[in-house]
Amino acid sequence: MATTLTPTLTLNDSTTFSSTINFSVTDTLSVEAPAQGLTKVTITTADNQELVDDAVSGVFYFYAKNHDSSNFVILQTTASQQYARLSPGEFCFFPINDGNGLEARADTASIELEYAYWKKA
Amino acid sequence: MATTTASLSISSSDLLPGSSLNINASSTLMKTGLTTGMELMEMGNAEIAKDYEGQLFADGPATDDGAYFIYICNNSTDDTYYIEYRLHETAIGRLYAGDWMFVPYNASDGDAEVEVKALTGINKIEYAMFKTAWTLPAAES
Repeated sequence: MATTLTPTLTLNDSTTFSSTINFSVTDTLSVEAPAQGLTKVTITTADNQELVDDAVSGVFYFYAKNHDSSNFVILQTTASQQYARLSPGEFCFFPINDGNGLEARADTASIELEYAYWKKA
Repeated sequence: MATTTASLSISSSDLLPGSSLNINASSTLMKTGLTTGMELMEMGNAEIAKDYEGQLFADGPATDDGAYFIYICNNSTDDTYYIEYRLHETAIGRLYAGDWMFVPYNASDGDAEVEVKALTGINKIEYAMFKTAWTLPAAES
């Protein structure tokens, strides 16, 4: 059964430019199983750790936040194309293409990563 | 000091039986390192028609391994319209009508350009990139 997920992004800046940046965007997503509930894992430097299996078909909405205070983590497809580097405290939210999968690897030292994903219905 | 704050909330009232989901995350966008805010932003909107495939952000002037953030939203209202978001010809994800994404971007080498491709319809997108650094083109002599 499909359920509803509502992600909202807000960007705000009143100090950098003459004009204030203040905008918000939201979406209503229909999602279904399989999903990964909010999870915290330790990502090490030893190897790539697969968080989204590329063998599971479907588009996935992926959320992650790096809880480490000083080290970044690399997110990439299972074919090693980097999605992003998450610096300390940073987060991301984006759709993962069918078959891409996602794996994580800490660069300098182990970090604690919070993540979740949901399959597009 | 430049202080650009990005906040994300993800909520659902019916995803978990008997319990609502409320995820909240917030961070200040920093240049490489943890102390200096970002002061460069590129933004705009565009209409991308079916079969168009091209660069949204070129990788050339970017600083390798610098901190960048990308926001893209597909503002189309026809739910059959969608675009692909790509990094150097690798499809990363699809943004259907109304969908958006926010992700740090690593210009890790000379092959990390951000591309978009429309698969159906004429997609109205808006986009922004927050940048650590940018190299101006050389002056014509």
